[in-house]
Amino acid sequence: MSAPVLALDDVSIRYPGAPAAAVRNVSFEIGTGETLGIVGESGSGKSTLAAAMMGLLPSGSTVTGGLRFEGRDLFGQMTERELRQLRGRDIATIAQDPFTALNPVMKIGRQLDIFQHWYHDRPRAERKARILKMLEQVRLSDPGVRMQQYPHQLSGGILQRVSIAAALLAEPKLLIADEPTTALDATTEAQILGIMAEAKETLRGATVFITHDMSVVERLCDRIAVLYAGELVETGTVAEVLKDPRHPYTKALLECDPARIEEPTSELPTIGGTVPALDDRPAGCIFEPRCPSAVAHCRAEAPKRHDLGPRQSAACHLVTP
Amino acid sequence: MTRPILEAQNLRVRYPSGTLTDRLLGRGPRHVTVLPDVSLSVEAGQTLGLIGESGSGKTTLGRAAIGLAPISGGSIRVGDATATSEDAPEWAGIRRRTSMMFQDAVASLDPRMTLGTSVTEPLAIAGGFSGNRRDKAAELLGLVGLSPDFADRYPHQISGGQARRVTVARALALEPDLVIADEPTAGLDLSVQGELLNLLGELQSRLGVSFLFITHNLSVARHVTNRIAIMYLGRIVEEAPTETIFSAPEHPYTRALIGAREATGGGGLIEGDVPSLTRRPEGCEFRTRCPLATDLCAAKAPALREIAPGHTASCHYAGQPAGVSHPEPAANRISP
Amino acid sequence: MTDQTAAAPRALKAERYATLRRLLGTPTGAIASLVVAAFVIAALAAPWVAPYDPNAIDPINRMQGPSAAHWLGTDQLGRDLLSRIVFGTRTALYIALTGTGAALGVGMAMGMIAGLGGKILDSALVLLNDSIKSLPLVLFALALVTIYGASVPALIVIIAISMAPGYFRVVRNQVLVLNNADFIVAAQSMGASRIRLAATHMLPNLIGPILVLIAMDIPAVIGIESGLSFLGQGIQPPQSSWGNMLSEGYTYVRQAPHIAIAAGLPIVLSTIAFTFLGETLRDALDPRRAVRT
Repeated sequence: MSAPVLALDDVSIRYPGAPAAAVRNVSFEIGTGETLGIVGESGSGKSTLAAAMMGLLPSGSTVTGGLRFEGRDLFGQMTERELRQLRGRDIATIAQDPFTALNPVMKIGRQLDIFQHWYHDRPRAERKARILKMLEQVRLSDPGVRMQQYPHQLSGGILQRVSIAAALLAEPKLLIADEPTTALDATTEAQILGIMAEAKETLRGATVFITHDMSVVERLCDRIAVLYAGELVETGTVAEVLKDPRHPYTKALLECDPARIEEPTSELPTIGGTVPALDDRPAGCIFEPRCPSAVAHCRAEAPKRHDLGPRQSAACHLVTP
Repeated sequence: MTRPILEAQNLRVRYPSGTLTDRLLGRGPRHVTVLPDVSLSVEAGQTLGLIGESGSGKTTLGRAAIGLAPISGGSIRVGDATATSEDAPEWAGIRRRTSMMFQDAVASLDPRMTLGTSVTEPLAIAGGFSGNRRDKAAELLGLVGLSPDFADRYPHQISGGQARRVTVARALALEPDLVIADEPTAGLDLSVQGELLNLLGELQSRLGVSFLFITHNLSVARHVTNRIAIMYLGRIVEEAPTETIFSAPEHPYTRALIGAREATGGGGLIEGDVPSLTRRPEGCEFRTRCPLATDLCAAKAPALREIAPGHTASCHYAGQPAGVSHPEPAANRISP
Repeated sequence: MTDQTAAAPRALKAERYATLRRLLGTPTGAIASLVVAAFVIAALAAPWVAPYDPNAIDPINRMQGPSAAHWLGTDQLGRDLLSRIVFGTRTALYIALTGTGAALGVGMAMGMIAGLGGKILDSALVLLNDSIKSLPLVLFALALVTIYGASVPALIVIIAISMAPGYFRVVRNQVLVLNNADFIVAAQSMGASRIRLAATHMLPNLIGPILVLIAMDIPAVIGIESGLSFLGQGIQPPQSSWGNMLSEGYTYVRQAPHIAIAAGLPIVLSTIAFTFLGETLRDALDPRRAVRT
């Protein structure tokens, strides 16, 4: 792997006034051309992490450890102005809600033109042709007509495709997609996931997919990072982790997914208990209170990351390479 | 088989549309017909899954079944009471034996009311409850695995999963025959979704309650329903026992929904968006997105007909052996 | 989906007083509450708080400036200004509370009927209230006073009529929003009657915005009362009112400016205090501010 686009090294993030850090000691890297899926349930810290990657944490938040974009620390070495430029040029996002992601009083074509800022010295006709081509690539019917329309005239599925086109036009070094299909219907979601899979060919940079849905990770990602209650519990390639999850939480989460259960059953698997509150965390392993295979040692000491091969690791006392 | 607990017959629901002046001047359509003609039934002690995407009318059908939608034709029967309009006097009786769980559990609880008051509200409305309301609240909360001290809390003090349980407790307060559950797993994490579904299943086997289970999630429906009805643009396009829906779906839309569940990236499934309710396509309403559509589909709307015992579908080409006059083999998945 | 830690059940008592704590937590909120409390105490305990009889004439000490004996000085008849202000507070708050109370009652009833009744009833009530709102308030008040004579009940009627549309609008809009709220539909699905919906579910959820409106309206009512009294159409002498004190002070503003200043002081102070109280109350009652993780 070449030098990573984004590297997190022991990152902890604490919101102002919060009793404890919402994200603790998270480390991973994303290289050029890679797609990383960050999976977690409520309270996992995945949205916090996404905000941090864009340098958009609320003021007063404290970040420790290193969060480096192309070697430069977002929270140590960059001014607010540099961060803004970075977000405009190198980092693009696809939001969960396409209705609020686009400017309601600007035509689609004009908005898309703003995104392809690399090409602003080119002639108008060339820029327009590029947008048209991109809208065709996201399989939008009548791209010429769409360019003349306003966001409120289009459906959620079409707008999400416009958002994808915008992200592709920007040619970002890092694309962050935050639950881009959660708000969509099943058939629309399938369409969008198909388009995203095709778009991977066009994307030269790195992509981060934030989701709670394992099947999205399975369809689109190369690597996976599983978060639980603000901690990274397991990471590895999608093929490895989904076939052979090593952390008990990853295992349980995969078992809970009704789409993965082959035979119809009336007794669905669950994970008992709830995510610990920020100010009420266990002393040992964060997952110990809900873990089906916890032993006495788990309560006493928090596990370290165990490497399980070149790219897979899990934070659990019970895993052995 | 005994008589179904819930029966909707040729139900039509339409909402007034446009402003008052528009309607007085006769401009534009006066109504939006959400449910043109729906018939369905839920057997006692069973769970019927009502599946559809947004705009399919599944929530409207659920609300109409408890008298919360403008019914302009057809009827709803629950037990022995039959209602034919939104303000029929029969609803009072129907609502005593039917309860509803809403998509947004937290929002369906009064923010200024303690949970104890909320769960026992059906008793207060029905009247005639002489016991101690606090004890009853504790009992109902216990039924769904919540401790009695939840009775003194307010909705914003509990988690989404706990709010869900509170609404289950409230739905069961009057020991209803039928519960209409609108997306009961919406907003729940996978790790707690199973708990809620298991709880509903357990309560069903213990109390014999029937469920109309409204969801967009086929994977969930597969495990918790006995039968499934698939809705598209306010019509039921296919209905069959749950196993049959998954093993031998007949309607192209059903197949697309099942395909969407397991598709891997790349191949498109069905294209386009759901048409607007005010501009329903002529002929078969699914033909604008159907990969199998022919001239016949544009000319004539297919009727919902029985393909096999207990299995109905509304497609001209349903029920035909693969490859006969069918443009595409009836495979489980459609790839154009 | 938002990333937030599961709501941990906290001590319930703390939660119940959270609004009060947020209200007193800001400097403006705390000061405004203090000033309002002082006015209320002055009004309730006027005979004990006031150092002199407000109507006791003392021709020797006419138009005296502030002194140790008379903190705010005396007026043209030698009456103690502080005592007259304290008793004037009683008049001002009495009219403000009864006037807003009457406006609230009328406006709320109309708003509930409009929100829960049919479309025609709603349109008619909206038209009625918009018509009232379009009347120029001062002319309307002067006309009424001319016909029926100046008196406290006349003032209250004027205030009730002119303020009711504000409550009507807030209540009606809130009811229309609540009509579609899930918890209201849920109550309907349980078979709740309209009366039950209004009394058990709507009313408690209306209290927040109404409290804010009341706090904001009180200074306006004080303004109306003072204004009309200043014009000689409100509270009649010798009953003390801030408005007629200001009017008398205005006559002697060249010889003894302290009279007008002393009379203006409580008007300004109460207006600011009630306005700030209303604004902090609005923020304190906002549930979006209440949920902090």
